[in-house]
Amino acid sequence: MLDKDLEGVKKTFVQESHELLEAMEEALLALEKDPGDADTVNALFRAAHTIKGSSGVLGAEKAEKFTHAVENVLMRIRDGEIPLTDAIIGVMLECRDHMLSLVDLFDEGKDELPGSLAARDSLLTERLNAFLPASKPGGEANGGNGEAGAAAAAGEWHVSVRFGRDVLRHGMDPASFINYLSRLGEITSLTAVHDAMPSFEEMDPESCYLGFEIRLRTKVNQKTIEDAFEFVREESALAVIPPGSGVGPYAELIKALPDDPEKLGEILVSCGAVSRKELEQAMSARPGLPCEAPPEKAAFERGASGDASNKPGKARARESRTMRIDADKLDALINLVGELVSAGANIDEHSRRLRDGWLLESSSIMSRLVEEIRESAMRLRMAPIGEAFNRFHRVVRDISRALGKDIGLSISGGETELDKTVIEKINDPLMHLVRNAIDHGIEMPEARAAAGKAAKGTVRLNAFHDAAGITIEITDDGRGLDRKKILEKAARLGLLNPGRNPSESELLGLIFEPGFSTADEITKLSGRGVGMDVVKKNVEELRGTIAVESREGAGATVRIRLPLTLAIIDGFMVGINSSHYIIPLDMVVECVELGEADRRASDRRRYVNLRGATLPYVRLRDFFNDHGNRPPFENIVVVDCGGQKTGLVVDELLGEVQTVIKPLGRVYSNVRGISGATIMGTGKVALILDVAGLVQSVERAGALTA
Amino acid sequence: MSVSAERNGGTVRIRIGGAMTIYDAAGIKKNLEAHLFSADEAEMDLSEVSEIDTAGLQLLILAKKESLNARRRLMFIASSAAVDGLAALYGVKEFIGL
Repeated sequence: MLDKDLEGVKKTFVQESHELLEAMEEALLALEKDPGDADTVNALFRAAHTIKGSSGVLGAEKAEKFTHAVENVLMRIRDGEIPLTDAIIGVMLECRDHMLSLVDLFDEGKDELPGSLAARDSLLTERLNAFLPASKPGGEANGGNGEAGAAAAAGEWHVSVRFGRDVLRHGMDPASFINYLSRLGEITSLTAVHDAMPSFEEMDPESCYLGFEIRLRTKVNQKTIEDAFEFVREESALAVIPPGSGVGPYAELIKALPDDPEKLGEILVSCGAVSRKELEQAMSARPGLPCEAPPEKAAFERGASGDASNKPGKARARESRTMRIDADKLDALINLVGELVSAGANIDEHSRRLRDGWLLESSSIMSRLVEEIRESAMRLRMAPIGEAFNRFHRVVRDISRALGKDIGLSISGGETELDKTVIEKINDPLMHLVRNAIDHGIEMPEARAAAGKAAKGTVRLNAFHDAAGITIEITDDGRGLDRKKILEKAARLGLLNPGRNPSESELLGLIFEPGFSTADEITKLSGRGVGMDVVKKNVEELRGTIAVESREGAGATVRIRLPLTLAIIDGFMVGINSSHYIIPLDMVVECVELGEADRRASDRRRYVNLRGATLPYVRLRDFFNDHGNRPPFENIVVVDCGGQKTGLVVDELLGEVQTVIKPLGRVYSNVRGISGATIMGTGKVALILDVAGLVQSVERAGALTA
Repeated sequence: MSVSAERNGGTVRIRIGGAMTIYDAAGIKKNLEAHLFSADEAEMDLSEVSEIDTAGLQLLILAKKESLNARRRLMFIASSAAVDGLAALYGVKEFIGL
């Protein structure tokens, strides 16, 4: 295999393992509520089995070894040998996390476990093995060789082996292999075949002339049996025939081996592998008998069908209907569609100028189609947010247990779709908010009971579409935010004028200020200085907004509004001289004309009186050093950036546009005030303003001159 | 390893003691070749065999096969735990006649 192919296989393995581990976590959490669900136990087992199998194939030894131990326990749970307890689920969840680390380690190309992982590895393995029933002597305990195979119940396998002549000389003894086999299961029949032994004169006492026909009742899989002979595999002839393979493979076996067919047939019949009648039929039908299935293939196919359904519940049904696409390919497509939109608009403009009826009609049909293509291309990037939500089951479970609280997570609107990149980036802020809700929001069970509430608290994650984006709500039914504490803290930090009574939303908005935390004590979960201000920053980076609502004693809701995608922006286009700029529409508050008096005063002051309030402004013409003629009229676009209103003075207001954002090249990465570009219908480029950056850099300049 | 052969009329009694491993196999085989058919019948006493491996057991199988082919009688009159154990694992006790 080429290295590149191998890299691809490795990538797929890592990705699939992640999905399987995700599924395992879901299954474990589901089992915590309903430990009797056999389907879920099965799904859990299969997920572990698949991970073990593929890590073995790819040589991810650490992952294989550890997963093997996990699988061992799961198999016994599935077979009803050990009951599924909360303790096991707890350990299994930790094991799942550990498996994730091992897979990631393999992904990074590291073979050795760093110290902490190695310690965890052996600790967890120990805890896993403790769940196993007291093992039979020489049985599972040593290295856990009794593993689960594709065959659910123990079946009778047939192992046919002819040892190579030099096996003894190489210091190996067939007896040890047979001993090993007997540890994998029960050898129900074993016949030594010594037809190959020559006469006295020719026999070399140091050569091996033995072979065996073995029936092995075991639950292990084909690979494990074959692996038993790993050291002698090359020089020996080995056939492992799965239970229920029919007569075909045995007929093949007789044909392949040099031994006397009659005698071998006799052995196979007497050990119960085949019936005499079957064998006679199969042998007389030869040559050219098409086997029902060669042994390897039979086992492989069974294994494959067993693994195909390794996800619990709905995910399984959906799997076959989805396909994986490289995100870069998708971006390239969306980019092209964006240019198609521009080209289409160009044609539209020309056709309107030509006033050709036919051309106009064709062009308008094309525009409509292009628009549809663009929308469906955008939808390709969309994914339901439920996946991100579901991760929190585990978080809520772990943290609430650690804190001694009883908290449930309820999720709604998981099917709401938004851009995959947005989902990925919203994960951290969500995590922070959920932790906050559990840690600070929801009270201890006793406190809840005292307040007349149900002892069990609830954190609710909800998502829904609204006008131009998606809203995500994190709600808890805890104590709500403490107005008084916020006021005190705000006063201490100098965030409020003393004596002024702020509005409810103004006051609650303060918790997003840097350095603001009302937690009395710093717990290990939150209140570590990484506060709500970081959450707010993250949300704003996604061009979203965040707000909090509180009902004293009844809980709080944090509401995040996000645009559906980062690839498209609803903008407001303005013109300065002959250049065009786009301001993100959701930041635009209003547009007013820059009055004559203010224009004249603009050399002295950079603010206007807007309905009694002071509005500082930035003249974009100056900011971008555009020294063209000043038009007779100028306008102010009032933007709201992080709660602060600022005016942007422009020449022309050109109206709302929806455009595809093209990132700027790296050369422009240091240009202030610009976040991207877009190509307009005319083929000209419009720059998208980075309002926050622009306001900041102006503020900084102002602070310097002041 | 020690091999001794003792003729008693038409019967030769071959006594093997100590180890019957691959290191001893060549020597044992030479002795067997020399004595197995040195009388009409052969008896083998393995009671002093302390250790046996596949190479050793192969020699017992060889002796039995050669005797059968030559239509000579070979009797195993005594065995040791080591021999019994390996022969049982290989399922050849009956064949050899232990």
